[in-house]
Amino acid sequence: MNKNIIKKLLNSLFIIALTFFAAAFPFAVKNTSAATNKISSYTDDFTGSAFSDKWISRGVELNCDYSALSMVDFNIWGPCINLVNYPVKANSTITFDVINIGGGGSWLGLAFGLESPSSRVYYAEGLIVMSSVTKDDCGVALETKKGAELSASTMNEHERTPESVFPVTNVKKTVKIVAEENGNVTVYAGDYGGTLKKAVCFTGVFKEGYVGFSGIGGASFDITSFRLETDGALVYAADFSSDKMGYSSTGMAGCDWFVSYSYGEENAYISPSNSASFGKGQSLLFNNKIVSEKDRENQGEISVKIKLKDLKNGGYFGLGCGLESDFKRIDEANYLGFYKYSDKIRLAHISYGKLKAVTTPISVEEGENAGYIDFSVLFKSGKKIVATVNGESFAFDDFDFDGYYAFGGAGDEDFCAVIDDFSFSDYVYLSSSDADTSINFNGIKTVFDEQLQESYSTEYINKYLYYIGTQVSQSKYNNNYDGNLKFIGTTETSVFIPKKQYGESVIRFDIKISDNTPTDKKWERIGVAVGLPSPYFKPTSAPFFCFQRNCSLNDENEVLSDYTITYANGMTDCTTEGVVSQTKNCEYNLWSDTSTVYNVMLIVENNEVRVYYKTDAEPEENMTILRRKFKNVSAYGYVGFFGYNGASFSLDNVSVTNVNPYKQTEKDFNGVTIAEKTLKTDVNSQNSLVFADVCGDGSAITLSFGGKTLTVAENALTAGEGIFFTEEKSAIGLLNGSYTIRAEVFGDNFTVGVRNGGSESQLYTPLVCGKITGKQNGEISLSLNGGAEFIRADAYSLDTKIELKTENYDENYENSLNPIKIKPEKPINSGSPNAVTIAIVSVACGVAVIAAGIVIIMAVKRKKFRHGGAE
Amino acid sequence: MKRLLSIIVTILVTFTFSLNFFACEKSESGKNGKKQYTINQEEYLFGIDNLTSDMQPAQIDAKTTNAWSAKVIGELGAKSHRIWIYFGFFIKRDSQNNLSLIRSNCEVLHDYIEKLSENGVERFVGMTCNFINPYEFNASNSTTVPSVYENFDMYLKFLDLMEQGYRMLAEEFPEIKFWEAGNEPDISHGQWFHKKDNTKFSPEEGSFIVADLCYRANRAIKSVNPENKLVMPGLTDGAESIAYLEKIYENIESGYLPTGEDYADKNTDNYFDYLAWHPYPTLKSDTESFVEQEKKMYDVVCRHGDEGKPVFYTEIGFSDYRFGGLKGENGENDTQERVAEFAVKCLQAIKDELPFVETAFWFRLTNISQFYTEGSIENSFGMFYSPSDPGERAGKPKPIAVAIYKFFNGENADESVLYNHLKG
Repeated sequence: MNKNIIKKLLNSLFIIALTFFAAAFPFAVKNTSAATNKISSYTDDFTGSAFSDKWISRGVELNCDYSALSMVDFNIWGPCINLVNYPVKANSTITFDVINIGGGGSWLGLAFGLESPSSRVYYAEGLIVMSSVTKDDCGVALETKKGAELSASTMNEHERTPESVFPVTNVKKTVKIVAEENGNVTVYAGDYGGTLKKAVCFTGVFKEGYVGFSGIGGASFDITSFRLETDGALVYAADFSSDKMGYSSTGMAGCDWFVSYSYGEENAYISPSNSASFGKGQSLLFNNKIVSEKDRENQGEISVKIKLKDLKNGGYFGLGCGLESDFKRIDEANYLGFYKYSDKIRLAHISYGKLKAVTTPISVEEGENAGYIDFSVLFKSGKKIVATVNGESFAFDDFDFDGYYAFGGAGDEDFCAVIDDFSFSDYVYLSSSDADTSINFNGIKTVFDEQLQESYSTEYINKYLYYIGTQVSQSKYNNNYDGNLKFIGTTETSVFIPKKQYGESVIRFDIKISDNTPTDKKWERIGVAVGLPSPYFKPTSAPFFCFQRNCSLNDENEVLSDYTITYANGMTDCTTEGVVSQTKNCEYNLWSDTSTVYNVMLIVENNEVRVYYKTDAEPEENMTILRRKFKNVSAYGYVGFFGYNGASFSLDNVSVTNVNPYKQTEKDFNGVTIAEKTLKTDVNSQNSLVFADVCGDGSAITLSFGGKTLTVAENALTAGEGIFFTEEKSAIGLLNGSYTIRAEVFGDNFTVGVRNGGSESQLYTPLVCGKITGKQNGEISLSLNGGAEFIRADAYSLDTKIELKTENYDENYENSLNPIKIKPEKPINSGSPNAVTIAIVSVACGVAVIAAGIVIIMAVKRKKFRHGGAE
Repeated sequence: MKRLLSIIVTILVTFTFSLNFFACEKSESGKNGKKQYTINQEEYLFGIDNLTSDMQPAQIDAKTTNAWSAKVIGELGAKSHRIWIYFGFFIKRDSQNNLSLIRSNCEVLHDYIEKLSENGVERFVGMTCNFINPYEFNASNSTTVPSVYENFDMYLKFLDLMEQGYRMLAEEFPEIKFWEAGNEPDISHGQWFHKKDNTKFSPEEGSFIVADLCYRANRAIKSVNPENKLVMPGLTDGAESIAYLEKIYENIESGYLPTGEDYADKNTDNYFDYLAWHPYPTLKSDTESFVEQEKKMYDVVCRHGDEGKPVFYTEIGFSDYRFGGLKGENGENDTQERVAEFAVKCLQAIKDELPFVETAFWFRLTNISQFYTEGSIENSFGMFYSPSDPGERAGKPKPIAVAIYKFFNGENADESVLYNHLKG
C-alpha cells in the first residue's frame, strides 16, 4: 500500500482512538501527577445461558444455583414487594429462605396487614424488622402502626431480641413466621436445612391483610423460596423459577409480586442466580491482559466471591496470573490460591510450580453449605499484590502478574469450587482543570414588575452551575440578606453539588444545626462526598466524610446519650494508629445547640483527605489541627455537600479550590508575584500552598515560610532561625532538569516536596518537613540560585476564610449558559444525501452544458473567421 | 468537432434531465419539500393491540401466550399488530452505558412475529413503552426521563442512548417497519413518562421531549431501513391532547429542536411519518361526538401543514366495566352487546368520515382474569375473555369480537372460526 495512504490511515486510527478515549473520559485528562481513581471496568454475575465473550472456559460450567426474588440496595421507607394474590389470614405460617447479599447495618422487613397488594409500608399494620447485624436493640423487632401511618415518627414498638437472623452475608438462612388465631406472631430462624430456633414472640399483634418485603440501609437480599400455609393447608409456594414481578409502571395484573412504590427493575426483580463451577483440570481465563504501567501505584483489582465446596488436603483453588492465553498449567507462572493443608485453609503463592509463600491458617467456611468468601486481589507496582479475604489483607512480593489470569485449581487433588460476582477495576489517573467554586448563597434576582411599576428581589442561585437535591432550598430573601442553603429533614437525595469535577481540591464550608430535637435511634449525618461520578448518584455512594449524631432516648423520652462522631466511608483511616476505624468521637457535639457555626475544611490531594474543623468563634490557628486523615480515596468527580437521615442544618460559604498543579489555566503564574528568580505568595494568607515548576540546574533553592528561611541544596539542608526539621531526606538528583516544588505552610508546620520528571506514582518526594516558630504570616517565597528559572507556579490560600462571590442574577450570563437555544434552520431535504448529490451533479451538468454551448459558438465563430467572415 | 461537441451537449442535457427526474422520484417530496403519503385504510383498517405473557413483565394473564394470541388474531383476520416493547426486556445497559441485546428475549419476539405472520398479520408496530437512561443518571425505574431543563447534560446522553437503542431494535427486528416512540406521554397521572423525582412533566417540557425522541428514533430506524416509518407516541385523545399535539408541532416549528444538533429542523417529516392517538369513545346512540373529537385532533395536523399524513389509532376500545360491566343497568350481556354495536358504528364512522385513519388497533385482544376479579376498567377491554377465566368463558369471543369480525368479513361470515382456538 502507498506509504502516504498508510500514514493517513494511521493518523485516522490515532484520531479515532483519541476520540474514543475522549468520549470515554470526556472531562478527564490522563496525568501521572493527579488523583488516582478506581474505575470498575468489568463486572459479571454470570447470568445468562453461557459465559460472556470475556471468558475462555476450559471445562468450567455455569450453574443455576437458585432462582430468587432479589432486593438490591433498598434504602427508601415506602417500597414494599408485596405478595399479590393471597392476603394472609390468622393461623398462617410464612416460611422463606433468604440470603443476605450485603449492606452491613441493613435490615429486611416483612410487612403485614397491608390493605392491598399495592400498599406501601406506610399502610402496614405491622413490620417485622430483621437486622443484618446483632445489636443490643434490634436483632429482630416489631413495629406497629400508631395512627394512620407506619413511619419512623409514628410507630409502636414491641419486644425485641438482639440476635440477628442473618449476621453473615452469602449464607442461606430460613425464617418461619407463625401468626396465630390469638394474634401472637412468633419468629423462628436458623440455618437452611438445620433446626429453626425461636427468636421472639410478639403477643396479640397480628392483623390480616397482604404481606410484603421491605428494607433499609442498602438492604440486598435474595429470597430463594416462599411458602404460605393457612390452617395447615398450602396456599402459595414459590421457588421463583416462574414467578412474575410487577411495578408501578407496568401494573400488577398477572403478577405474583408487586413493587408498591418507586423502585423498578434495577432494585427488585425475580431471576435465576448463576455461578461458575470448577472441578479438577478446569479453568476460566479472563480474556484481557494485565499490563503494568510504571506511573501508577495500583495496576488493577479483581474482586470475586468464592465458595470452597470440596477442597481436600493438598488441594488449591485460586487465581493463576502472568499467564499466556494458551497456558499449560494454571500455576505455571504466579498463582495465588486457597491451599488446604492439615485441614486448615491458608493463602499460598506458587511461583513457577513451587510453593513460595504461605500464610498462617485463615478462617473461611468450606463445605457444601458454606457461604461465599469475599476475595479480592489488588495488583500493585513493583510486582506486589495484596489479597483480601473477608476483610483481612495479606501482601505478597515478587509476584509477577503481567499477562492473562485465570481461575482454577492447582495440585493433584480433586476439588469442587464455585465463583460468582466477579469484577475487575482499573486504576487511572484523572485530573481536572475545572474552575474553582465559590458561593456564599447571598445571590439575589431583581425583577421589574410592569404592573406595579416597581422592582422586587428574591433569593437566587444559578441552576446551570449547581445541582440542588430534595429537602434543600436557599433561605428566603430579606432586606439585609445574608443567605445560606437550608437542609431540612434530609433524605438520601438531599445534596448540593457544584456542576464541576475535581481531583485535587481544597473544600471549605460552614454548617450550623437548625433542629437539634433529640430522637431515639437516629443517626443524622452532615457531610461531604468526593469523587461522585455524577450529580445524580446518592452522595453516600461515593467516598464521603461526615459528622454523625448518635442519640438515644429511654422509654420516657429522656436523653440517654447524644453525641457526635466523625465517620468516613470509601476511604481508609490513617490517623488512628494501629486500628482501622472509620469512626471516631468528634471533639464537638454539633447537635448541642442551634447557634454555633462550624468551619470545615478538607484538603484532598494525592489520594488522601485531610480533615480540619473548628467553631467559627475559635481562632484561625485551631483550624490547623489535623482531625482526621484518610488515604486510598478515589476523589476525582463531583463534590457533594449532603445531609442524611433527617439532619436539619444550614450550609454556607462553600468553596472548592482546584489545586491540581497541572490544570490548564490561562495564566502561567497564578496567585504569586515574581521578581526574577524569586517567587512570593500572597502575604495576607496565614496558610499557603504553592506549586512551582522549575527548569534548569540550580545549586540550591532558598525557601522562606512567613519570613523564616530554609535552603535546600542537593546535599545539604540549612535552616535559618525559627526553623526546625522533623523529617528530612536527601535531595540528590531531584533539583536538576525539570522539576516541581510543592511547599506548604499550615499553622506552625511546613512541608517541602519535589517531583522530578514524570516517573512513579509518588506525587512528591518529601524533602523536608518541620516546625516554624515566630512566623510573621503565611507567605512562602522561593529563590532560585544558579541557572534555574521558574516556568509556572500556582499558589493557594489554605486559610479557613477566603473571599467568596455573591452571584446575583445576570440575564445575559444565564442565557449564555442555557443550552436550549434557537438555531439556524436546516435546509429542506439536506438530510437526504441522494438528493444533495443529485442536485450538485445536476448543477455541474448544467454548467457543463452552458460551457459546451459557449465552446461550440466560439468554435463556429472562429471557423467563420478563419474562412473569411460572414456568410 | 462541431458534431462531437453537439453530441456531448446532447448527452449532458439528457443526463441532467434524467437526474432531475430521478431526484424528484427518490425524494418522494411534494410541495415545500414535504413527503407525500398515501393512506390505505381499505386494506389495513383492522389492527390489534395485544400484550402477551411471554414478553411482558405484567398486565397480562399467564395463558395469553404468544402462540395463543397469534392463533386468535389469525382467526379475527387482523392484518396489523401493535407490539409492546419494553426496552429492558430486549436491551441491557451496563455501567459503562454499553447496550447489548438480550438474545433469548429477542428470539421470543422473532418467534411471535413469525407465528403472527403465519396467521396473516402483515404489519407490525413496535411500540416502545419505556426508556433507557444513562447509568450515571441513576434512575430508579424505566419510566424516568431526564428533564431537558434541569438535567440537560444527562438529557443529551439519554437521547444518544435512546437513538442507539432504536437502531439496535430496528436492526434486530427488520420485520417491524413501524416504530411508535412511546405510549401516552400526555396521560394525566404521568406514571409512564416522568421526571427523576416521579413528578409529571409540564405539557411544554413533555411535548418538547416527545418531539426530540421522535427525531432521534426516526433517524435511527431510517438509518437501518429508509422505508421504516416512525409513529408519534400515541396520545390519549382526551380533552388536553389537542393542546398537547399543538405543542409538539409548536416545538418543532420553534427552531429549538432537535436537541444536540447545531441546526434547527422544522420539517415534521424528519420527526414522524404517522400520527397516533387513542380514542376511547363513550357509548352513545350516535358517533357524532367521537367524529367531532377526531376531526379536531386532525385539524391540528392540517393547521401545521401535515394534511394527508396518516393516523394510527394505536389504541381504540371499550371496557365493559367502564359502561357498567356486571353491575350495568341490564347486566353484563347488555353492556357487551351495546359495546359491540357501538364499536361497529365507530368503525363505520371511520370509513365514512375519517379518511386520515389508516389503522385502528383494538385494545385489547383479551380481558385480564387474574387479580382484578372484581372488575376494573383495565380488566375488561378484551375482544375475548381471558384464557385464564374459569369454565366455559375461557378464551371465548365476546360480542365485540363477533361484531368486528362480521364488519370486516360480511354479516353472513362464519363466526365459528373465532372458536377454532378452543378446539385444542
